[in-house]
Amino acid sequence: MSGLRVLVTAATSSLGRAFCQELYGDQLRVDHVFAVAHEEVVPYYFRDYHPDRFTYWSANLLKERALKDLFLAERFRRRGIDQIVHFGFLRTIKALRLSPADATEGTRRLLEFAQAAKVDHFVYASGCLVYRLRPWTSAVIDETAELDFDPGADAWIKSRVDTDMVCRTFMDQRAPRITVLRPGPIIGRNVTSHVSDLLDSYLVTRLAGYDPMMRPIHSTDVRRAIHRCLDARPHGVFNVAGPDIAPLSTFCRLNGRPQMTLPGPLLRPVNRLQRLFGLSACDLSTLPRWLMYPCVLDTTKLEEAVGHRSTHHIKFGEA
Amino acid sequence: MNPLGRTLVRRALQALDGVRGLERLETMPFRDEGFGFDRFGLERETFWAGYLAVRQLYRRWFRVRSTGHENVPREGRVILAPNHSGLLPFDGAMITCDLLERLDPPRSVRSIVDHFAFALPYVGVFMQRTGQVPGTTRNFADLLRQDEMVLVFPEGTRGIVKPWRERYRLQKFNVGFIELAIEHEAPIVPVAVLGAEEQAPILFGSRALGKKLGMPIFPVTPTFPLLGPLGLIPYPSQYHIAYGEPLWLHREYPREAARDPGVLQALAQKVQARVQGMIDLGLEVRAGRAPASEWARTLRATTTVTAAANGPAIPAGADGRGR
Repeated sequence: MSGLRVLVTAATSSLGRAFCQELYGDQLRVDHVFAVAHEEVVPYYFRDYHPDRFTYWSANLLKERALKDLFLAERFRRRGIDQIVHFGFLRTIKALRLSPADATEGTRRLLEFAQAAKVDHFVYASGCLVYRLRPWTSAVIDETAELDFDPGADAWIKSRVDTDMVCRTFMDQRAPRITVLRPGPIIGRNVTSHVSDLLDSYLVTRLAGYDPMMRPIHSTDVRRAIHRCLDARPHGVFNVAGPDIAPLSTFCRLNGRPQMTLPGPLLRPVNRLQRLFGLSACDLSTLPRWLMYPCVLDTTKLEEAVGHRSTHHIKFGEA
Repeated sequence: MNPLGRTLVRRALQALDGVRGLERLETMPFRDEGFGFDRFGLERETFWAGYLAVRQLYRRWFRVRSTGHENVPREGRVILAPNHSGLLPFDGAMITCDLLERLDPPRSVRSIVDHFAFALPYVGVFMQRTGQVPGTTRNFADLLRQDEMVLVFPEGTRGIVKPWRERYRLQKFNVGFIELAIEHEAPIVPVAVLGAEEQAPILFGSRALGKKLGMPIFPVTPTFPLLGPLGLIPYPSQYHIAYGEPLWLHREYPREAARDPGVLQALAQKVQARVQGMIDLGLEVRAGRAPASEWARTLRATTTVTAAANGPAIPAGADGRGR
């Protein structure tokens, strides 16, 4: 065996599923894909895959018992998995109605088990929301920018930041090599991200008086970047973002859905009503800072480390 | 700005300035990131719309006269370091407008602005779209790396909140721009602005009240707060702007000097002294105690090499006198 042998968590998420399918399709470079998700039944899109090259493992990795079962399983050890791509526990947390803080603890345990199992490389897909956005934040944010340790921040953001920090504490140890990828707002079909959720709303609502610059990334480019990281195994924190930089209003306009700008006191109840009637999945109850202040990621470090350059321009209305 | 707004700005520019106006818009160096914005949020059409609006103030309200444009490099990175005064930053707007009027092809001036302005709804967005950026080292350095013309007020907000009795006395210059000028090999053009002090003479300022309102100070002028917000309208004092000979600090000091606080402080004082000298001379000229040619002559005295090295001479008609 000389190709990649990769375990992918959250394999049934939109990003995880597409990533597993891409890995499986790359027969020359990928030997085995070990897809893990909490759904018990093998999803239809994985059923036809050959067991020599693909394993679906149902487990709630937030439980220590499930982690032990996975890492001690004959199927896992026989495959010689040496890389893990961790997409987080968002779906599991939401499905089981757990606290976002559990995701941090789950990732810490996963890293410990990966270390014990001598996994060589661990990729964590974090997000740009970990950065603290303020009026005086630099226009272009690099990996050393301040993180959002605000105690009043949204629970999900706090969990993301904590998980990010957990990964960074493991970076000081010899193994595994850890790559923390911080993608800009991900846009793509069925993708869950703050901007994607906003743009998928039936009525896109923005905060009046603010129009932050942003640099979204298409899910295709996120997958390509992770793939590059699996090849190059860089160690450290890396931003990844798309080729397009524009204000939120431009993306809303290109999206084609009706949009409205509202002052803060009105935005919250309107958003609440939208969520109540299932017209939006985007939670604006805390008036998140990404609605106000720019977040343009500097991707130079990743370009230098693995040679990744995003190419997929944001075009709405296509797959 | 939506496509309709952009079209309207172009139409307005064409109507006011003819085809030449549109040409100038198109020829202004601009790093478009794909949707008509650069990564700092500058949008060319909003920038020019702002220029068209400010131009009326420039020509009719402040009746700006300026000299020394040949000292401003036509291309490449450059730092403009003027004095700061007048409560509201009309001096920055007038310098930007003046250079847009005078330079050919036009160059956008990227002002480094205090943080608090970007927290304000609408105001922050407008400032971004017109090329102004929050004052962080990273932003400043990124602009220089992009070979932009950066306008920074080394006095900071201390300059605009100083009382009337300290008019035309420069406050202590910050050193950050010196450090970046050496590191990024950018020339510093000292700029003197006369007239801004008189636009809003501050009789008294309350820092405590200002802090509560999220401002550097709460000012008291002859008309504010007496007339309410109307009292903030600047008085129509005539502006005189002079651009001095560029200081090429990186040619005299190695990069290591940018890490020596003592050197930085000394160089900041040197730039401050240069600007103060230009202001003092300008005041003499304005008071009629020195001939008008004296100011221009002093500014141009040693600039022959600089002008030749930095591009073509100023176009015909730009003789240093405001319109």
